[in-house]
Amino acid sequence: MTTLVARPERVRRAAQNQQFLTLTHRRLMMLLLAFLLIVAVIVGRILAFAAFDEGAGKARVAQAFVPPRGDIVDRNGVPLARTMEAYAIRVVPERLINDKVELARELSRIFPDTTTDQFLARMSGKPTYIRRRALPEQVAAVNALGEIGFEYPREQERLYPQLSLGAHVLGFTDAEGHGVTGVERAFDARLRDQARRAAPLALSIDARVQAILESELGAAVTNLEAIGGAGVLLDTNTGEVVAMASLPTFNPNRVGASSLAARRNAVTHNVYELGSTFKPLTVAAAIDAGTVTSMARRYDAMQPVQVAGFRIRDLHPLGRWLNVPEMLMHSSNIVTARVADELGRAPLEAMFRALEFDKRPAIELPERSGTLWPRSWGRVTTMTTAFGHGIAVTPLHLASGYAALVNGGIYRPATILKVDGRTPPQGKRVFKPATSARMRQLLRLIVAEGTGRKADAPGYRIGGKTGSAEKPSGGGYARHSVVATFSAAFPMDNPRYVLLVMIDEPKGNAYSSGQRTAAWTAAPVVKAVVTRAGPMLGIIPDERRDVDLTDLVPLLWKAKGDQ
Amino acid sequence: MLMAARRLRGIALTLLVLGIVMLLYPLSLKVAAKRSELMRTERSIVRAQDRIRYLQSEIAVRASMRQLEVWNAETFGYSAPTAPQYLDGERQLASLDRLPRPAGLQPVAPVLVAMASDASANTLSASGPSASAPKPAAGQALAPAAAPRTVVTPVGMVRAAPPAKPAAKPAAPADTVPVRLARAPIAPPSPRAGEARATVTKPAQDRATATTGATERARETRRRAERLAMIESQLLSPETLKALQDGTAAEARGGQRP
Repeated sequence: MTTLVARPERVRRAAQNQQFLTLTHRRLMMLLLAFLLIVAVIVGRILAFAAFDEGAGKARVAQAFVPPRGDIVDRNGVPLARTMEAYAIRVVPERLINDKVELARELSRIFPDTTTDQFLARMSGKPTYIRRRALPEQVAAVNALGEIGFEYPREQERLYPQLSLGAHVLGFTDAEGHGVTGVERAFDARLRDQARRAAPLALSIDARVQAILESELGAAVTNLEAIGGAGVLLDTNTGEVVAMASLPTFNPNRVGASSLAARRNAVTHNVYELGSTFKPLTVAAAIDAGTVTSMARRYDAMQPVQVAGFRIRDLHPLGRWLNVPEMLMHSSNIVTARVADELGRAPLEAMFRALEFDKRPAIELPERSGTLWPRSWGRVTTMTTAFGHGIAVTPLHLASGYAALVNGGIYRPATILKVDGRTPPQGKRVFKPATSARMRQLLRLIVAEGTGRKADAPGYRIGGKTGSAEKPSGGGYARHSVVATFSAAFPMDNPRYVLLVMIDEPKGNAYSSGQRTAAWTAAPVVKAVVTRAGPMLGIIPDERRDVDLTDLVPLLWKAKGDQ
Repeated sequence: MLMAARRLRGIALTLLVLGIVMLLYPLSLKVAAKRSELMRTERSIVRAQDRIRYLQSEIAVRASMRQLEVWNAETFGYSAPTAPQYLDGERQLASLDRLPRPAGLQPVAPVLVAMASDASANTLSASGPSASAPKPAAGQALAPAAAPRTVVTPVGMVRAAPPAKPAAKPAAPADTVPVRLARAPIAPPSPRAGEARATVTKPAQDRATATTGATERARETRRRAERLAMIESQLLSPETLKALQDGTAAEARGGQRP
């Protein structure tokens, strides 16, 4: 059998050749693509190194600096509160190898403020802290005792470098790092927020001015044997609180050592009948309403006013007719009552409400007290609230009111945060600009010639009003416990700051020449604070400038032969 | 041959690529090394920042406002500057120079100063033992041109002069101090001539009355010129300028005065 085998070799070869060629091309193509890919990867990698690596590095560095809780700084960037990695000392009693009595003695040598017995008590029982916060040298000294029962964990601690400075504003945190009072509590969420805690929280407080206010107020409170004091310095045009002091004070680094009373912020949390310091507000309302048309008009101050069983009398009766400038200079309750009576309830109440004397003070701090607003408002209420009795507000209320009184009549809520770059809050008009200008003159007159002479720091053009209110006690008023207040603004030709100083129950001793009124107790504090803090606040004293008082001075009554 | 070359080309290309990859590998290594180095640096920066924060806080605590207050109360005793210590501008600053006044600017009654000045100068020169003794006979005492002209004399001396007028005699061999003073009124004629020249030929009374308004005016202009010259020499002298420059340089250097 023969088989014919056809050999379609040539045909197949041609087709195959074609096929091979295509395959080769395809393979070459793939190889080319592979090469391109490799080159692309290499180029891409180099580009990636060049472009993104630096950015990544920066991000890592930035993240490393974020504190677990944001810093608090003053308006100039001085740190007021920081979170630090501090050393703590712990003891595990079952691991102690040395004699406990001996150890306790050594420890109390290193920490002199704790007794041997207290240390001994801590070293018997459960593991506990010997110190939550210790200095590195103290830790080194304890470590040198060579006791393996001690541990030195590093813990995040809130540190207040300025100690008790602005303690009431700052507040403090608990052991878990949550704010308990003050700014720490008010801005707790902001300080703990992952995104925003890297940037410090800037307060409106100026640490230098705060220190001056605290030291001057502290000296006065100590010397006058007072039970407390309050001071607040406000920017009249923005409502920023530049300084806020409350006495007695505490150290937020060691909160446990302070009493509850010391932690109370007298500026925002205590209400007082602030007395005569209300008189300028009443006068301004009366000028605004048009019931006081002339500064020369005289009112009868010969006899105390009898209204509905109440007797309104003057502390120092002058026994003559007084005009408005004289009424403010001599702080006459009788004339104020007459002015208010003429003004009537509605405008006075409207003014008080416009200044928000019926609400808690407008500030971010959580410690804010409601005011004591008159429950039923009769004719007597109008007359007494006009000179600051029968209505109790916080010192901050009054300071904000004075800011509105002198800054042209715009009320702005107080703020503890720095107002910078942003426009100041809009505010609302309470007094007319002309009224405000007149009030500046009158307030300056009180300091230049009236009861506030002791506050007159030369060159600073201070204007203000004294107020010595008797404290209510058991249904009446205690004659010998007063709240001495001085509410001032400076420089009076263009008021930029309002300073309120209040001293709670000063004693009339040698320091105040036996007086307990504001003119002798609070006014000198205002003078001292303005003299020291004025230049820091940008107020340069100038003895050749003053408010023009020429239209008011001739109205003052002078005894014959008096210059 | 050609086929072999073609095959080898593929291998060569592969080898080339491998070679380049191997050459590039150190780059990657280097980047990794740099990166770890960067990490270390970053970590040390973080540590340093942490330390700085700690130290800053420690300094802040040690130099807290309260502490500064205590130091000031105990040691330094600084108090706030008062209003007069602030200056408004250059004018106010210039009024506080506290420089010693030029001699010509002493607040003495001007007319008296002028009369006494030349008189006393002449008196001093003319009444010296050598000048007064040999020349009384000649009747003329020529004061040396170079005689030091004191512009100001103590007021007491000036006052003492007029009452002593009658005692003025040319011949006074044994001069005493009162006599010297007595000669003062003789002098006024000399300034009229513009020279420091004293004549004693005529009685003193005549000469004293001869002082006219014209001499007064001439004297006034001359005194003004003298004062100006003195102010310039005192205020703008090289010594003053150098002292000022030294002062500013020292202040710029260390904030301390020499």
